[in-house]
Amino acid sequence: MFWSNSEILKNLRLIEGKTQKTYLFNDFEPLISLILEKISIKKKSVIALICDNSYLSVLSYLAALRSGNAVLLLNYSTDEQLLRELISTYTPELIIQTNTSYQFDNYQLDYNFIDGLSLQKLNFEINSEIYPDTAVLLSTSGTTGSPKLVRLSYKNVQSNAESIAEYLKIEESETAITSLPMSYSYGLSVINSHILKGASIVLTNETIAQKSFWDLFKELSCTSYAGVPYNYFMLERLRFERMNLPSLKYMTQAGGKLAPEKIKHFYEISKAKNFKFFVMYGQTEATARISYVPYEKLGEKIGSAGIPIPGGRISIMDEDSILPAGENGEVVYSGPNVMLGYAEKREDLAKGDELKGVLRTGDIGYLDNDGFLFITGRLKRFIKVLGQRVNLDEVEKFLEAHLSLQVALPVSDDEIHILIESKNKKDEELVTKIVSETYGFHHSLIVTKCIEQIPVNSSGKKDYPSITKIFANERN
Amino acid sequence: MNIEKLSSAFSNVLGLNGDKITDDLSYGSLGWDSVAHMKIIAAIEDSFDIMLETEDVIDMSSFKKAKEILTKYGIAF
Repeated sequence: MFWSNSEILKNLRLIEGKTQKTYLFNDFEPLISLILEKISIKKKSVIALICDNSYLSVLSYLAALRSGNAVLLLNYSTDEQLLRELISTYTPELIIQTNTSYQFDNYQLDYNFIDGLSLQKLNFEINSEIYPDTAVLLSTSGTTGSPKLVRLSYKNVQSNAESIAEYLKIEESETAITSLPMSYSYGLSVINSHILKGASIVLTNETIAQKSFWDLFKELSCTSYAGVPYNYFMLERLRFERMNLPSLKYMTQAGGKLAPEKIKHFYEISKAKNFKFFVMYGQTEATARISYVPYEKLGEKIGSAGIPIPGGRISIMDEDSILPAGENGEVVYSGPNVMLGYAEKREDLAKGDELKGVLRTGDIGYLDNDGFLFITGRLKRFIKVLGQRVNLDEVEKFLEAHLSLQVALPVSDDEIHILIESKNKKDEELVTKIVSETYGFHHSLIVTKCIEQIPVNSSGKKDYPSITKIFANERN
Repeated sequence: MNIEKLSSAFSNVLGLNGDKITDDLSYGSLGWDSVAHMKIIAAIEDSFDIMLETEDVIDMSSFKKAKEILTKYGIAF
C-alpha cells in the first residue's frame, strides 16, 4: 500500500506552496512517525482530520492510514456549524487540525507536539466497533441536515490510485498542484495517485483566480491541472489560451458534466499547445474515478464520459437486466474501488461491505457501439454545483416548509435555479439569501425567479421541462 | 461616474451596500471568493465595455487594485 511503502515514498517530494520549501523522505518520514506515535490506539478508532492543502495535512493523512484507524477528511473551510454537527454525529476519538483551531466540547487538547498541528482527544470511551477494512470516510455533500459519509476501504483507496496513475501514465518526474481540496474525492485522488508514483505535489490553498496560484504553477513547473466544470468556466474567462505554461502535460476534468462546446474549446487549445486533456467521470462512492476519455479519442467522443478505468466495468441496467448498446438505463459500475457503503451515524461504521463491488450510480446513460459511456440524466434529482452535490427535492421541501410557498427547482448546470410562486419581487432576494446561507453557496450561484403560478403538467405535477425553459429564456 | 460604475459592479456581485465598497476591500473578504471574482470581472467588462488581460484578471486583488488596473484601459477615476 502506497502510504506505508518506503520504496515509493523515498522518491516523493512534497512542496509547501506558501514557503516553496521542498520536503523529502528524510524530512517527512520522522514527522509521520511522530504523528503515528500519538494516534496509535489499541482499538480501531475514528480520526477526524480537518485539513487544508498543506504539508502537515498530507502527513497526518498518511499517518492516519498507517495507524489502521479510519480517517474522516473534513475541509477546513467548512461552515463551523456543519463541522460541529459532523463531529458530534460521528464522535471521532481524535481530531487533528492544521489550519483551524476549533475547540470541541468533550475533547481535550494534547500539547502541540508539532508546530502548526493540533490534536484533540475525546475525553470519554466510546463503545462502538468500526469495520476493520474502513480506511477513509468522505462527506458526499456540503449541505446541512444529516451529513452522509462514504465509507472507503484500504483496497478502494489503493486500487483507484493505481488505475488513475495507469491511464494518466503518471510518472515520477511529474509535479501536481492541489487545485481542489484534499477532503474532496477528486482532490484526494490527485494526491493519492501522485504519492503512489513517488512524484511531486505542490500543496496550496490558492485558487486559480489568484496570481499566486499561477506563479507557483510556473515557478515549480507543474505538469498537470485538475478542475471541475466551474474551474473550466473560470479558465475560459481567464483566456487560458493566452497563458504560457510550458510545463503543462495534461489537464483533467471531472466533478460534473462540462458542456460539449467547452470541451471542444479546451480540446482545441490542448492540440495547439501540445498538452493532453482528459474528460472523466466518477463519484465519491467509487472512491473518485469511474471512467475517462482517452485523449486520442476525445475529438470523436465529445460529450462522452468515456470508457471504464483499468479494473472497472460499466453496464447499463433497468431494474435487474443488462441493456444493449444504445439504450438508456441506470449506469452500474463494478470494480475494486466501489465503496463499502454509506454511514449516517456512528454505529453505521461497524457495517461491512454492503455493495460488494457493485455501484448503482443513480445516473442515467447509454453505451455507444464502441463502449463509450454517455450520461443523459439522473434517477434522482441531484445536480452538482462547484463539485458539490445538491439534492433538488431536498432544497425544494426545505423551502416549502420554511416559507409556505410553492417552490420548484429544475435541473441546471453549475447553478441553482429556484422558481417561487409569489407576487412579491422582494421574495427573490430573500430566497436566494436563505439558500445561500443554509447550503453554503455563494449567492451569485443562485438564481431565484418569481412567478404567479408554477407550471404544472396534466397530472398536476410540477412541469420541470417548462420550468427549465423559463430560466433558459431569462439567460438569452 | 466611473467610480460609481465600478462600485456597483462590486456591490451587486457581493450583495453589499455601496458604503462597504472601499479601497480596503480585498480578495478573501466579504464573500469575495474565486466564484465572486469571475462575476466581478464579468460585471466590470460589461459595464466598461472592455476585455481584461489574463494578468489583470488574476492581479485584481483589491478594490484599489481594480482602479489601478482600469486606469491602464483608459478609464479615469
